[in-house]
Amino acid sequence: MSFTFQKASATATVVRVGKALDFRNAAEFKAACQEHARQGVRYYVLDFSGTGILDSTGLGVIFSLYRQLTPAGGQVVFASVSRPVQVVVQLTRTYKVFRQFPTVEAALEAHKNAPSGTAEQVSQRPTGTA
Amino acid sequence: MPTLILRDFDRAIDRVHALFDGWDADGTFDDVLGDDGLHVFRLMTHEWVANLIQHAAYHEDREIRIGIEIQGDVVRCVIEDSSSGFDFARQIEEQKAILSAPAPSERGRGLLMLVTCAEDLSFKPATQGSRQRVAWSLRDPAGGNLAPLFRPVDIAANAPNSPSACDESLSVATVSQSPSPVSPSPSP
Repeated sequence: MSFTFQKASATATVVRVGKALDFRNAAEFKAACQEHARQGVRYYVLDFSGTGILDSTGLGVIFSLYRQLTPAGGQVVFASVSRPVQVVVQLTRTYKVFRQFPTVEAALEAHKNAPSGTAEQVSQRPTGTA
Repeated sequence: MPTLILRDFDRAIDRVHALFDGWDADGTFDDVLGDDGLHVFRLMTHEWVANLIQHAAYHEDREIRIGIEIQGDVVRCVIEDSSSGFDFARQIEEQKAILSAPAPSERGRGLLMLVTCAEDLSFKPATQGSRQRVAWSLRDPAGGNLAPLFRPVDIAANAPNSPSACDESLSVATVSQSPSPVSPSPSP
């Protein structure tokens, strides 16, 4: 496991994904995200700043989290996306699903400024931090 | 370039990435693959090896052999393994069906990513007396068939939260499933 969770507010958390999110730690990542969701987290900022590997299994558990959260108005966003992760995002066009922010702080700011403190849509275009 | 032989599957994926880390550090493929090519190549190799580690059945000693070399303006990869193999074409069809579902799927992208990125992909199923073998080439994504996926204008033109549009890039080229695939180029 290389990921860590850092709660930013009652409903928002930052997940520092670490070096890899792949078939080796995806199940653990999924379980940890679900536990935080049970505790009321609805806005997940995935910090990919140090991530060299995101494979299809890792991407799959992110989609699983997305499917779990969106009916309740939750959101998963990407921040500080490394170039290897950006390549996966480009190939799968998942930038159409997950908003990207240049920094974790920008992602949290967008959440803070969203109406009613919920994970509302923000107007920022996807950006990569190649 | 030497052939990477993997027998300890607990360490296999780490060894694959250690190899790529070295190439990344010394720029071995920079002239051929450009800025993003090595990331793509690493991902393709990872997906295939991960598939072999997670899903393949082995009736003999487990072994994966990876050979990678530069051939002109492409990098060529050949991977052989001692598994009993699987039906590649059927797996691709299953993944396409999964991704055609209305909601984003949790699974079903790995082989499609590989097939989408590869040029000259060939696959030879395992038979009695011969190992399963896959081979592909990759050229610089900025100048090859992947170029449209990396255009900034393409990114900016698409708003997020359109799950149905996701994965449309994973269009699948025909997989050459031949009884006589390309010869592996790994040097001993």
